[in-house]
Amino acid sequence: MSVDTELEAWRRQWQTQTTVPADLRKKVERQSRNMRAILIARIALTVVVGGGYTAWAVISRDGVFALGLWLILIGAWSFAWINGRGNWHPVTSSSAAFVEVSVRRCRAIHRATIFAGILFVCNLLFCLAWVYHDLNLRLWRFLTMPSVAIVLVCTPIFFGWLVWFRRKKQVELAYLLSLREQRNGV
Amino acid sequence: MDDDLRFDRLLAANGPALVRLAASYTNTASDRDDLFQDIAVALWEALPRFRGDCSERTFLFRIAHNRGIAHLTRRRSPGIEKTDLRDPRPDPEVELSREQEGQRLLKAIHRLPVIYRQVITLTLEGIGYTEIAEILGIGESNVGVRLNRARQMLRELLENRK
Repeated sequence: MSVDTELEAWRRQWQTQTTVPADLRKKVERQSRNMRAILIARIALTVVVGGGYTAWAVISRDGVFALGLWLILIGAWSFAWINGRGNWHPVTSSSAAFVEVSVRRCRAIHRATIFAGILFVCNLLFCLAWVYHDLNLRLWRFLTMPSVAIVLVCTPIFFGWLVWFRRKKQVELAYLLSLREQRNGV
Repeated sequence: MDDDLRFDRLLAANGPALVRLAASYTNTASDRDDLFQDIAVALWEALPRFRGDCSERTFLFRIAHNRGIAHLTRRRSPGIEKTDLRDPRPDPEVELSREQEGQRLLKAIHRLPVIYRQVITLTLEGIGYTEIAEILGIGESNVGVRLNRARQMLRELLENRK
């Protein structure tokens, strides 16, 4: 094989191996798929947790805990609905819309981190208060129960992760905003 | 708005070449797509500052290679075993065989040192010595030397894999 033929053969081989569409919108589409998966997971969680405790409330003839839990679930769904409005698709198919929808999604995640912290505390206080009331133990014995201790140890870990995630998103948001400003010539 | 049009036009004209270039710096399809996104965003940022002191294609490939190097710096582990270049299209036999050849070539290119990888990928995209020299910021004679060495290494790698 002469040298030039060799290069031509390589060139043909090289240029056949790209058939994946080169599309700037792919990342947004991937995010959209993730958002749909999260929505499905949220529905499943609502059905399992809400349905499970409703069934338990019917059997035990005590609906207060299930009612409290449903209030928390409704609060979470309302926030998710308001926070997620307009984030599902780019407004147009132009390349500028890619940055715009990324900014909106980043801001939504930013707000969601605050809400997640508040929801977690509400949920934790409600569940712990309920279990404490139900078991009728001394406070110290209650707090040193293995299951409660695990929850109390996991709480700072969760908040540490939340702070880290929020900072990461802040950096991403700052970058996206500077990119948008550059594009708009501000 | 002109920049938007220019951006779309450049990506439309060079998209497949950029994806191939990104593939030469990455080991998985998702990494390749991420790097391609990085290149696209970097191009978008840089395009308003383009003053026409080289061709648009030279400018584009210069950005692409810089992003590729940045990607390698971040990853620091250019292994080749996880390569995933599945093609979503239906795969007739002839096409499949061609693609296997292409993947074999890509795997061999992954094993080249970066300086040779850059020269060979640009050559395989049909870019001439002068433009490669501009893109990589090296002399034309250096391009020739690197290309010869890259071809020699690539030949050996492909022979060993048969």
